Amino acid sequence: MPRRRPPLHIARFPGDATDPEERELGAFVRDAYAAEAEPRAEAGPATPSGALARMADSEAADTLRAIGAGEVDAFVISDGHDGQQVFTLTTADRPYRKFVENMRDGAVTLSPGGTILFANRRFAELLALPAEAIVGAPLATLVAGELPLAPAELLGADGLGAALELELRTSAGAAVPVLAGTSPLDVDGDRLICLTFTDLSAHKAQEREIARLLEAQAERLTDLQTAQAALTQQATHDALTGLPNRALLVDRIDQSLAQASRSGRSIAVLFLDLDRFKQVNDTRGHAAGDAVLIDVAARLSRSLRPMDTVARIGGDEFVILAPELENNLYAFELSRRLIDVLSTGEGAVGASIGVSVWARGATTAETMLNEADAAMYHAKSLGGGRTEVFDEALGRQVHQRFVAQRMLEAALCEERVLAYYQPIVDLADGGIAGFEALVRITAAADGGMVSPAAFVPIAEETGLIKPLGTRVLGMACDAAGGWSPQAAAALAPTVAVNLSSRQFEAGDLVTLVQEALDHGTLPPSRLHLELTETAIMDLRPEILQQLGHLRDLGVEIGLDDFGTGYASLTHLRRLPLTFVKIDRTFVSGIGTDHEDDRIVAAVIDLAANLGLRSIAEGVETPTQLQRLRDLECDQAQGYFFARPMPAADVGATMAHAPW
Amino acid sequence: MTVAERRSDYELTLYVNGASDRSARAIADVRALCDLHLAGRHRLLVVDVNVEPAAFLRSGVLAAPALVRDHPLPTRRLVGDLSNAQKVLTVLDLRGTAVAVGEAR
Repeated sequence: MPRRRPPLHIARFPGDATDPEERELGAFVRDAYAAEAEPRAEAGPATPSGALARMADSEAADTLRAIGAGEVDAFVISDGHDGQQVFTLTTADRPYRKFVENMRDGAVTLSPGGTILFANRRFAELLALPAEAIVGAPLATLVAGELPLAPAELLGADGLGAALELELRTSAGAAVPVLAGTSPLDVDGDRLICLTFTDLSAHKAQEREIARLLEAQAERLTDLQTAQAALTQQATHDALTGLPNRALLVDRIDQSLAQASRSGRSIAVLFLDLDRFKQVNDTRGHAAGDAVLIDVAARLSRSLRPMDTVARIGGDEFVILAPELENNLYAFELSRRLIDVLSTGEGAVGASIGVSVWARGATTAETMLNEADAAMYHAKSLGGGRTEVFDEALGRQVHQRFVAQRMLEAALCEERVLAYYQPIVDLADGGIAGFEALVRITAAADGGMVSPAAFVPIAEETGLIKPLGTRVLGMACDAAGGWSPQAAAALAPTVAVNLSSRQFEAGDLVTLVQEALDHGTLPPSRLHLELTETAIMDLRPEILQQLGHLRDLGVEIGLDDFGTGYASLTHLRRLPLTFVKIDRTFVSGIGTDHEDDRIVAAVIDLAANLGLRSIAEGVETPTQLQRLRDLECDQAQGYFFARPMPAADVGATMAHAPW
Repeated sequence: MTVAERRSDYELTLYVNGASDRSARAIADVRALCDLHLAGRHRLLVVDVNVEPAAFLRSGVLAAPALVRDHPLPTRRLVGDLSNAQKVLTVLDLRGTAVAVGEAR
């Protein structure tokens, strides 16, 4: 029976061979089993393939097992064509064989056709296959994917050896990455291929780990960048409204100024302050206040051109930067529109706006902001809900205010604050009832006096009146504690100290007064506190409460400058007062101006009826004094008796009385 | 190899690779087995595959050492380790009780 001769392979190998040649061989072996019963062909040379054909499967398997187990040292191998040859392991090989067998790398010898003639233990371990399953198999069937090169090409272009990365497929189907190194082995005129396989699993795992770490690091970097962006946002934006903050605004104004210098187009800065925000915050709480601010921010943002910037730079202070203006009218239209937007609808709080317009020439963001701020202040002082534009006159005012503020701060710092005392005369007996303490400041340069008119309004505006008032209160209490009665029967003189409405704001006034009294020996009843009408104009509960506490201390409270402000009879009745002071403008007219005369008479009468002491200010002439006595005014003060004097002169003045 | 002359019950051929340790051991193992179990009933031929590769190629075995029972037919072969006498006797079916004709030494 003619039989087609398949290409020779030294062994049948396990696994699912996909190579057609391999399938053919498998089929051939099975056929051979069936052909076993055939009579042995006596003629012609037996071939190994014929031998395989005549073998029972068990014999073939046994042979392969023996080969795989290394029990043999000579093989019949294919010569790559149709012929065969004997390949032997020589005795000289054995030490190397032992060495190779125990290598840490897998080692394989390939026939020129790519069949594995030998594989060491490590190689079998790599593939998790028994050695007998490996020897005789084409290397290609043990490689995951395709063997990239034909067997002969594994030795490289020069045929002396090369290295390449492969993946071996284990019996479990897993891929093992290996570095394959090749070298030629010439045996009996045949060039065999020796390969070593270095397991790259750990190396690859390391590579993956490094890649993972790099990726993680990249992620962290991204996180960092995100955090940095958030920080930048925080540093440049207001957290509540999300609007730019002062720092970003100043930057944008500076940029716009640089642009304006080139383009010649104008810039306006609008300083906007809410008119009734404080009331919302005080009466409805901070949460409501925050909601108002967010609402205002939204309303403002909606009212602007894309290139305009609105920033929140303080509690209820917003600034709008309007760059690229063809003319400045836009700034006023915008200003009017913004006030409208904030003055209509539910929860409208109203606003005052100050505008600073770029005047050609060098200026800075800070200057424009200060100018707009000053103009806004002006708008506020005119009643709010309006716009004022910064001009030269306002500029001078701002400058003066700035200078005065610096002077005041320096004076407080350098202890140049003094109390002067002006006697208050009891008109019934001409004796001194007490003194009014008046704040004075000595100039730094020459020790001369600074006019109170030059600094008291500034002190009120800036809040410096608080430390100033506390200083005077302390000095007055200390000084008055040392005053003695003029005669055995008389009472020691009282001391009157002025209070500003600003001093009620912090809520610590009662404590401050208590401390001033505790510091010296002055009994509370001899301390008189004077309020202006404007200070108590709106009868705020917290002010009434503090006045009640002061009165509880034993301190007397009176109303200063009565008649000039808005005090009503209601005020006189509801405040815990013991005296009223008639303003000098009315006193100056008595005896000459009929109307002033009647007002003063009425006030004295009113005070008497309410059980309050009446004190006339600004008495300068004997006529005025006589008239006040005729009207039964209780007490009086003025240049007619004495000008305000240093504490050191008080004793001599008391000796001079009565008038 | 022909089967013209039958001077023994069993005709065996041992293929070995020259003078290697493995060859020496295989020859020793097989001779010991024959002395013990086939005394006077066999003929053993030792072939060095390096010297007679053509004979080896014709033998039908694929590797050496290998022991082949050339007679009687069918041919039986065992490749590899030959130190296990029981295995050798079983695989090559050498336990028949044929009449001893002669012995080759």
